[in-house]
Amino acid sequence: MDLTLVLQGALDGLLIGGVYASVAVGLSLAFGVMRIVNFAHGELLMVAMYLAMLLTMNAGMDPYLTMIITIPVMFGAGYLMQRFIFNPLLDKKTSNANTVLIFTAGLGIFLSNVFTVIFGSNLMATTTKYTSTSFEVGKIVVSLPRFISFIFAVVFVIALYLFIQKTEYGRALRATSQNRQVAELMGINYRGIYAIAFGLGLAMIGVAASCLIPNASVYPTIGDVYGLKCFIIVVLGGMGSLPGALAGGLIIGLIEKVGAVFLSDVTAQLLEFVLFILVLVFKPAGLFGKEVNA
Amino acid sequence: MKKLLAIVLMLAMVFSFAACGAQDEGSVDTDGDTIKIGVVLPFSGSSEYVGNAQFYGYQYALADYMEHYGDQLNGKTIEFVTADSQGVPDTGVSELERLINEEGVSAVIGTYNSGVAAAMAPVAIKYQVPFMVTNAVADSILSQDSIYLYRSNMGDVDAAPSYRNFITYLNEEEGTGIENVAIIYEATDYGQGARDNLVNNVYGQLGINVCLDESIIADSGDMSTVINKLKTSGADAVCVAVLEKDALLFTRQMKEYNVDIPVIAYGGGFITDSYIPQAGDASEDIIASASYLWDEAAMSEEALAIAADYVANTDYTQVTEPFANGWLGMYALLEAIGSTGGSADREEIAQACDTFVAAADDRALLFHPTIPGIKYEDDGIRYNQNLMAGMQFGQIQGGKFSLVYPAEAARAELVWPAK
Repeated sequence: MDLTLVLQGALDGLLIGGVYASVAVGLSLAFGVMRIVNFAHGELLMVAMYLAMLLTMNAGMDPYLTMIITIPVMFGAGYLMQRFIFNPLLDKKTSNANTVLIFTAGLGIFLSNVFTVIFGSNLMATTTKYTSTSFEVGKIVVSLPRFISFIFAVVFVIALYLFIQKTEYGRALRATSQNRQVAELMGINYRGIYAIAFGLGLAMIGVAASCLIPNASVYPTIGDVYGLKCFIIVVLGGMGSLPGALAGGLIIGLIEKVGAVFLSDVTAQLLEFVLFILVLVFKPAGLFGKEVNA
Repeated sequence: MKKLLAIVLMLAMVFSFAACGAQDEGSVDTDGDTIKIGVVLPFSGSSEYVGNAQFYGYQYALADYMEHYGDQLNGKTIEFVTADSQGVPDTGVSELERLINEEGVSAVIGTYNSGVAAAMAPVAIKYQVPFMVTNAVADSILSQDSIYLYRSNMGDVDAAPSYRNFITYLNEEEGTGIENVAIIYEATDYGQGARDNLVNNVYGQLGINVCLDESIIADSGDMSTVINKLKTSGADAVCVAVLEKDALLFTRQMKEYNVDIPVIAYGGGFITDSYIPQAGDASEDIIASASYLWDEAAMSEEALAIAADYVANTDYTQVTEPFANGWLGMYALLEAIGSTGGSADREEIAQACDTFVAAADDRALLFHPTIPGIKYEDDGIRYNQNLMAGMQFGQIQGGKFSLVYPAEAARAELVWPAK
């Protein structure tokens, strides 16, 4: 086997894995803090991608510059959703996290259908100055848009981690995730913390959306592609663990791309599911299981 | 008294069931002024875009037929009764039964999707309703010997001889020296069918080595590893069978990774009207095969006028395969109905289709200048297939497709090595 091909696969896997991680951290955060499994995560990414795409195509914005819109818009959407939909659902005695889970599953289908009605099922793609550009390091070709996306994605994931670890809000968020009742007794408004946490998760989706559109096309069912991958990443890394989500994203990227060097693309992606099952059976808490709480 | 009541109720039930049975047979109003044609297409779901394009093909064909040959219907009008298959076989079957039993259609046309057409075919035979298959290429659709099933456009197996001839032409006439080919295909019915056809019936028979045989997950969002494997494969050309999202991705990533192996696309996403505008310069020189390719230079003035009207009045930017094959199938069906003098009777329409023959200058072939005619024949694999329908090869030159093969229909010189 050509070593260059393996190294090329490893690099491509890492670059794409970083972007996967930026999508997955939102899902991990929602579970870590609120114990919510958000089945609409992929569809919310789709919404953010349409937003970024429209800004690029209609307002002529650079895809990466659209983050200044997608991040606050998605944060706001997440904050409001948690505040006015999920919090009331969680407060009801007759409902629990499972109710929210079912709600998000319905929301995902709803969003996918609404966007099909609005934009049709056809894909939307944009050509930017980054599209199809690359540079070479020795014999290895580095995709410029993937490289830039990787940098943005990883920087934002680390920034989010530092925010949670180093700030007062982050401390309150971690306290709430560890024990909501005790946090409440300490004077923490857990409803507000929940809303911020969900908002942050969706803000990361905004980052991911802006990082994806220089390469990817957008269509109403694209959420299926990334949503499923995110679940594998989060389970692999450990539900609720941000470092786990980052590591999980990179591992999945590597498996996909290095695996496809030795096997077919289809078989390599099958390996993800094999790993998913093995982790669930032998290490249900994930690779970073000790850090279940963000 | 109770016995009498029981007998009366029993008889009422029997007559009720009998009445239901009579309704199920779906009687056609053969004396009315309207001939109903059932249209089964994917008006929603992932094939919605192409389904609507095909329906436009039907509508334009009907308008044109009525303008030129409407008098053959003896004052009758044609009414479309539409049904949304959603691209789902079960839905297609239930909608077909509704069209037959409740709407009383005289004939059915559709379905774009092969899976839907294959599921509907036995139902059409069962109810003895003429079914004109458009666009769906699976040959299993026509595997039953019946006068109720017809297809005017090419089927899967017709691709193989066309490909063999084209590759032979490339090597012998154009001196391309293709000895090793790569095949990249999506892991779907379409992709697998294309791959099997190319490996077994084209390259296997031509003695050309398949040096890379790779499947990909459709819509996976990245093809970098497959493209890098292609780069080191030593292929003289790559055949690609993927749909729209992956066609764009493939084209962009080929450029991104500096891979300049000539591409011969197996239709799919490379021949949609949005592909060239979205892929831009990266699509230049790509060769694609299809049962239909839009090449202005090959079109008559009348075809160009209809195409201009279509583009001006719809969201579509050019005539594509679904429209053209829709036009072809609908026109052929209407001409068969016209030959009966405007009969709404299913049996008469089926018989008319069975004996239908059209020459190259028939208006049904207005958008298919390379097809020499229409005649439904058997070839041992399929029944009532228009065996004159074959494949075209076009190359993207200057941002649009130009026909490069069959040689007699070519409107441009082939560029090789294609980037």
